[in-house]
Amino acid sequence: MVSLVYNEFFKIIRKKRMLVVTLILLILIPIFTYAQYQAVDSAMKQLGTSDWRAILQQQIIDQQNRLSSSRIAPEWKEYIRLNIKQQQYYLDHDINPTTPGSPTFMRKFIEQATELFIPLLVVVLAADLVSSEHAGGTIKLLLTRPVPRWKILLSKYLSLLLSISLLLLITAILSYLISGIIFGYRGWDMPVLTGFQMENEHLLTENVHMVPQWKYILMAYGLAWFSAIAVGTITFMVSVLVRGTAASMGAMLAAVVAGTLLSQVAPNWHELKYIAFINLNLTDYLAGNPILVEGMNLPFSLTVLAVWSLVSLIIAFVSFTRRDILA
Amino acid sequence: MKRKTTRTFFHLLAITSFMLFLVGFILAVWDLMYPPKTVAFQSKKTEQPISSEEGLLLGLGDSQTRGIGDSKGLGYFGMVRNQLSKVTHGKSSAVNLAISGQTSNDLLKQMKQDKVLLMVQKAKWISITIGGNDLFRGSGGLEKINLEAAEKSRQQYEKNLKEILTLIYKQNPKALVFIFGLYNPFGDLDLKETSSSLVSQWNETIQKVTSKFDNAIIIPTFDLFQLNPSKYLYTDHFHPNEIGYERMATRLLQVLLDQVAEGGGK
Amino acid sequence: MKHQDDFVLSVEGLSKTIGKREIVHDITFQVKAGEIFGFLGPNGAGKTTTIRMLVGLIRPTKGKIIIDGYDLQQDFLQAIRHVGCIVENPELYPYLTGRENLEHFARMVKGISQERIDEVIELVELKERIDDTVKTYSLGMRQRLGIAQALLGKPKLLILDEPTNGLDPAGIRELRTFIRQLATQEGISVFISSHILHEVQLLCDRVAIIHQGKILQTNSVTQLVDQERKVEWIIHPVEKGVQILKQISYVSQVEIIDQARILTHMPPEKIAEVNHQMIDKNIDVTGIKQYKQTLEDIFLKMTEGNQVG
Repeated sequence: MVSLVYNEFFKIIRKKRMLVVTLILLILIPIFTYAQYQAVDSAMKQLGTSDWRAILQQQIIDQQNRLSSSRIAPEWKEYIRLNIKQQQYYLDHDINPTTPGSPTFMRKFIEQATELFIPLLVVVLAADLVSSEHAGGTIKLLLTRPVPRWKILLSKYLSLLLSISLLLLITAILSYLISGIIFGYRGWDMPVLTGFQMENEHLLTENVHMVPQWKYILMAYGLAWFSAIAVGTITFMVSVLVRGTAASMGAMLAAVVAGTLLSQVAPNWHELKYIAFINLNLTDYLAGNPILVEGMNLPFSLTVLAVWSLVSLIIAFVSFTRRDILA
Repeated sequence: MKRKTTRTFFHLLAITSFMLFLVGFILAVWDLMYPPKTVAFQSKKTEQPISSEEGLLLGLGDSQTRGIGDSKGLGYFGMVRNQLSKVTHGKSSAVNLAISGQTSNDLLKQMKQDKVLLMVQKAKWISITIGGNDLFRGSGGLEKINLEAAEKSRQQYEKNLKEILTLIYKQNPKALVFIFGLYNPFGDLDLKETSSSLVSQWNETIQKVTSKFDNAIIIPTFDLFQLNPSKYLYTDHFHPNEIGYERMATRLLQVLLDQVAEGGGK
Repeated sequence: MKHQDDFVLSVEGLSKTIGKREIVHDITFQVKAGEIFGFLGPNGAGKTTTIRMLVGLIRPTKGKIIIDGYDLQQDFLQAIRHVGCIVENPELYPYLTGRENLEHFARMVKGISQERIDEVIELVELKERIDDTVKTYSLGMRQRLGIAQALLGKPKLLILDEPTNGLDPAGIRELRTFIRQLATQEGISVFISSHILHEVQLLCDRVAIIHQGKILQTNSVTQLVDQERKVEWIIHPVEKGVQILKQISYVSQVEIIDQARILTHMPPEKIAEVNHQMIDKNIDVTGIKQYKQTLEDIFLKMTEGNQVG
């Protein structure tokens, strides 16, 4: 089995798909970095030319005042306290919160990319995994080895999981290295707030807590990884069912984009939440971003993605092991 | 066989990243499903008993009641509460349920929560600031006031306000409701005329609605910020500052303390 | 589970229906150890479908395939272990080098050493170009690499589907010698499908003729060719001679070539007997010529009757 997976992974690398994806990242990350830089720049201008440290100090004092002298709901107090801690950290470590260093960029990038960008790259990787063997005729050679068909498909799937992991690692490394040129490379242990929850249009802060940024990044990439695998698994099934690479890639790209659009266009259509592509943005739960479609939460999204993946796998395996190779 | 080493390297790298992200994923799910709770936080979660022998003051509405803009975080509500507590020798209490940024729509929704209704039932006095967000968001911001949109949101506002007051009096017919009028934070800017006439239109609406309820009292604020807005407004040029809130508090206290002396509403 | 017999490949009652169309109908044949077996039929006769069933790419609707004593459906891994094949074109991974392709397939079978890979490369004479990517190869080189791939696992049975397709005459001759060599020196049985009769005649020991999904005949090539010969009769008068010839049961396809000559198909040992009959009926026989038949003639004769129109 190990050598089968090695074979398949080796083919993915040699097919230059990984290289294409890396090139896309190499082009896009600098653009995103520059965009972020522009945003920071204009924010600085809005605040006036004054020293950011002074502004931060003022903000901390303001919040401390509020904390000590007013009757604020306890959960808000906790939230303010955490906010103060966070700002104090910025001051102590001489980090300008508006130009926060490349780990922050890494974090922001993956938060933005989970919904659409990473899935698209995954589709590019996975769409022709099986269909290209059909198109190239090599499937006939693969299936006439003394290896059961399910093992061949499993090795392909495992190699897909490996390459998705590698893709995310490359994303992480590139976004760190490239954005660091402008933002600097510090900020790994900067505290980040997480645990916000939305319920009935209210922000619940009772579970808010602070985690060091490196851990937050690890968690965010872990979630992005999971949704990338779900997309990869569904694409994998399509790749088994459809013969042409173009057809499978086209179908999957359309599905991913449509999923993203639908959740924005029709957030009141509740049945949408059972579609896998609506549930891809797992990092939203980590960042506490408002969820557009009602009734979605982390366990729900994980379940939806897992069920879709599982069904896709079953369909892929049943179809692959049974089907006659006619052309 | 340099090629072979690169291949093995990629392979190992992929396996390592697989493990890494798996760990990250598990951490994330764990963290989101079982968030670590700070001890200090839990102890504070217990609800403070409301001692309302002499009456409960309930704050509803938007950031003004919340006290945004006051560097001490009190706002008019905090100031009134402190004063009230002095007068009643600590036998009164106050609860502030205002949420920053609320519009009349939001308040109406909030009013339908059981917890809020319970508080309304218990309250002797209710003070409300609402409408600022409706007005200045609904009309399209101050740069480009859209009169049509403003009129539309005014009608919605009228309906909401009526419903809010009806809801309050259904729960608690005896409650005294103080509604702050709106002021024009942009009184020193170019579109002064337009914005001012809008604000007075809205104030008329408040008047019109409130007049149908005997125990609802309007506390005007338009005049307070009319002549010298920058002096009484916070740096965001929208919320009152400390002094602005003090003036609002004074007005409310004038009416409120009368009521305390008299021993409540009719 | 091993069936004991002398055949490397034995096919019994094999049928395949796709949709409502029966593409292969009740095919039975055997391939002996060390022989080159031809599978002859026009395009669309069901050759490729049969071959795909032989290597497990298509499930038969009915029938049994036994390779080296193992039932292909029940014991796929054991049965396929000793099969090397090229189905249709030699399609390998164009973005890998020749060696990488071989290594790739070697990793899929247990116990193929680096030495075996080198040995196979040597055998197909690809040593100089083996580290170039396959997309730079000519068709002949791809064909050879395909055979190298098929030979990796030291197969007992080599299945080749139209192996000379697209090769130039020199390449075809080279391939033919190579296949002969494999069969005689390594004792490998070779199963070759083709629609080119000439090729089969030159290369194969035995042949099965398939037409419209059915096997018309299986025989050794020499027997097939010898079985009936074209015999030309020069007689007078022609009309009477034709009448007599047509009445004889083992004479077929009586054709009048010109005023004196008639072409017939008949077993060569019966020539004397026919000659007697002619003379008895007062027909002057001035010449009898025997032609050695080609497979093409036999093939056309066999398939003619089934053709519609």
